[in-house]
Amino acid sequence: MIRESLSRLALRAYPRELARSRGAEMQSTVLDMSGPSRLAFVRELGFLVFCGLRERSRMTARSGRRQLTTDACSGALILFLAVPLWGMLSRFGTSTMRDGKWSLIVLGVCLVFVLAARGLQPVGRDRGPVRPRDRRDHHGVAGPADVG
Amino acid sequence: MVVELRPPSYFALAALIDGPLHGYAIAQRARELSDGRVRLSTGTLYALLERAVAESLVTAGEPYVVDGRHRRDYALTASGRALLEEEANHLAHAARTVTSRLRASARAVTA
Repeated sequence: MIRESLSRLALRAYPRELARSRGAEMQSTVLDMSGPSRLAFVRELGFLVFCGLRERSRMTARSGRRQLTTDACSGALILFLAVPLWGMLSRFGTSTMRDGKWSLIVLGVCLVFVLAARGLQPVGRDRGPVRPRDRRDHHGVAGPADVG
Repeated sequence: MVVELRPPSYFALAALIDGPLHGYAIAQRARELSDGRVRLSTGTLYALLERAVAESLVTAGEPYVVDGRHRRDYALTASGRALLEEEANHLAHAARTVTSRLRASARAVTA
């Protein structure tokens, strides 16, 4: 159950339209890909968030260089704050409870932080319906040559 | 067609040669075909599938649900098959060239 919630949360990294059209399918694939392994699940989530944020960045890049720069700086600041948050929560977990689920809870908290912070940014968020001329770019999440 | 096929895309498209497959099955088949060298994550897989659909290399079918899992089958188009064949020929030619050079070099060393 916690995995379903986390994967649904990770999909928030994607632009709204893409998450709506492919979200359920991607969530099922994440759960199948990771199987019973916690490490594989974390890896899958990490890649999912990375690819989603990259797609958002592509949308921002179309808004102009100034917004792209602002977006990159605020994104870097969010990650700069998320890393110590991860470390702090992990240390707190090992000193207070030995529950194996703690790492997933920490992951969830950090994901919420990153995605909420990204959502509050003035750039890089969804801007309503995609214009017809942008539709082709919007669906081109990444070129086959770019991914791996 | 200005599309360079890197191993993940090449094996993901190759996974569809025998017929339509859903996302998870594509990742599994690509892993088999590449002898375990290509391990597609969900994010990477759907990124390249979206791109392949946009480039008309692949068509996406209607969504359906099996055992609580949401699926959609993807099928290779004629242009996808042609691109794959072109890339396979290109790789085979490159392999032949290097192999023949290596053999010639080995013969020169032993002579």
